[in-house]
Amino acid sequence: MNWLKKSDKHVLILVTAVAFGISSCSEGNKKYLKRTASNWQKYVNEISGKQPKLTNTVLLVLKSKECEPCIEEIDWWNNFITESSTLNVYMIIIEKYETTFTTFLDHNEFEINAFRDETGLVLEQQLVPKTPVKLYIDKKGDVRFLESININSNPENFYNKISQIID
Amino acid sequence: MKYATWILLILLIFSLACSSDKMETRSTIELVKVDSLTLKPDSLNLFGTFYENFKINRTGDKLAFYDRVKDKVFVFDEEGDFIQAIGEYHKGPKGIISVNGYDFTSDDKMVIMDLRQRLLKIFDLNGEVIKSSAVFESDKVFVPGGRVFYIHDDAIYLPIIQMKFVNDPDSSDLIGKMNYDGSIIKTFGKYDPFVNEDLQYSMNNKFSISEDGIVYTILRSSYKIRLFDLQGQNYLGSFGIEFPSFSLPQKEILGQLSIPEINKRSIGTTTTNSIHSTENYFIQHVQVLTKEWFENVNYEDKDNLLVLYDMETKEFMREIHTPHTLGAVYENQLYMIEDFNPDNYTIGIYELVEKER
Repeated sequence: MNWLKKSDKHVLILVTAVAFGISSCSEGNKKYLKRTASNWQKYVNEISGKQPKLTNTVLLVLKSKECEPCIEEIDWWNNFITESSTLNVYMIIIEKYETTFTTFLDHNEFEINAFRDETGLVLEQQLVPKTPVKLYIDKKGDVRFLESININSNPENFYNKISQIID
Repeated sequence: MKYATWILLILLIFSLACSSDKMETRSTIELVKVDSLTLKPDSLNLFGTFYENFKINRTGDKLAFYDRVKDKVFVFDEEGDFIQAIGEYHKGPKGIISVNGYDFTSDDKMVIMDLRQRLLKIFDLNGEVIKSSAVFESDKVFVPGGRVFYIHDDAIYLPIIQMKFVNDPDSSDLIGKMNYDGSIIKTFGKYDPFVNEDLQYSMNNKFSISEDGIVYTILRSSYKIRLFDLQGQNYLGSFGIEFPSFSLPQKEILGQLSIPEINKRSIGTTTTNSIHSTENYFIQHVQVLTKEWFENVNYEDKDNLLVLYDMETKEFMREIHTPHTLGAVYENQLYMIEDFNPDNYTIGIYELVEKER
């Protein structure tokens, strides 16, 4: 009986910890989902001097030294923009050197419009929690989805979620 | 008599003062710049980002760098003039998908290990493939245990883990000797038992081979250097102290943690990037991982220090903090990367010089 009580206590602690973990994770992402197209436009202008329209847009935020699964996903988006015009897609690449940035784009034959963030301002301004990530800004200018780009990520699923709210 | 006693006493005081002065004027070792070179990239073969460590050939007149962006090896001469970019990025016997190790042979060929294709390739310096062989075909026996890749006396040395000891790595042999056909012909050495106490999930081992055939090995997160005899493959002992800047993680770093959490726990810890033996000094190149490094992955954001030991006695001498990254050591010269910008990639050549303090 005592053992059961002890075990119950452990289960309770575990469940509380997991629940706290989940809630804190979603809280963590909520902060970044509150950013708007206007916040992003201001940032893009700061790093590039340009003012692209960022509504109905997928942003891919990464470093040029990011690992292979990330490159594979960017390849998918690169093919996507040549076949579809339903969305704007931009890359934001954290890279100190201009030559490294252009070599990275040329070598991978990426045709997606890309902006270079020389100092990692995107992290400093807390627009994303980490890299590599992808996010979607809807037609109203709200950030709707934010997901990691990693070995388990699936760009098709991400696009399907966007498709459901596009129309 | 009284005067003579006083004079003797004064002389004695003076002589003591002088000898104490001599005790104070001890020597110290300093890094002194003797030369520098800036790489001149070829406009048709621009490089993206060179990895920190690079290779110098036996005669010291060629340098090879691994470009992380293009997965190619770039070769330059000692003046910084471009010679060749080796490895077309495609699958097959001529292509390279990943560079997991590379080095010059004694006759200036370039050997590249491509683990994504499980191939070992030998190129001439025109970039042509001379030989392509399968490696780690039977991955039930060995797996690679790190990025170190050395050619010494026409054999390749690289860290391995025996699969049967993958959960008990301190029982595994440490180094594999591979021939140019890609076969592991001998294994030797043992992992430092510290691997079981290590709070980091990585078993990354660094090693170097001295001219007199001694293999020096170190676990990336440790300070203890272990020695093996290349000929007999015997364990010869260890040296190394917890140098002043040495710092381990406060919390355990397991592979299943998220990358941001791994990074957070690694901030401020020291990690050995490479080890080298010269005529007078044993050099341990240590880096301190910083928040800025994990945020932007710029090599300049890591703090660098050289931990120096007397080559003969193996006694700790000092640690030198340096703003530059040690890329390679050739004979007694240290090649430090002063500028990572691909448009102005500059290497300072330094020597360790004993100076009066």
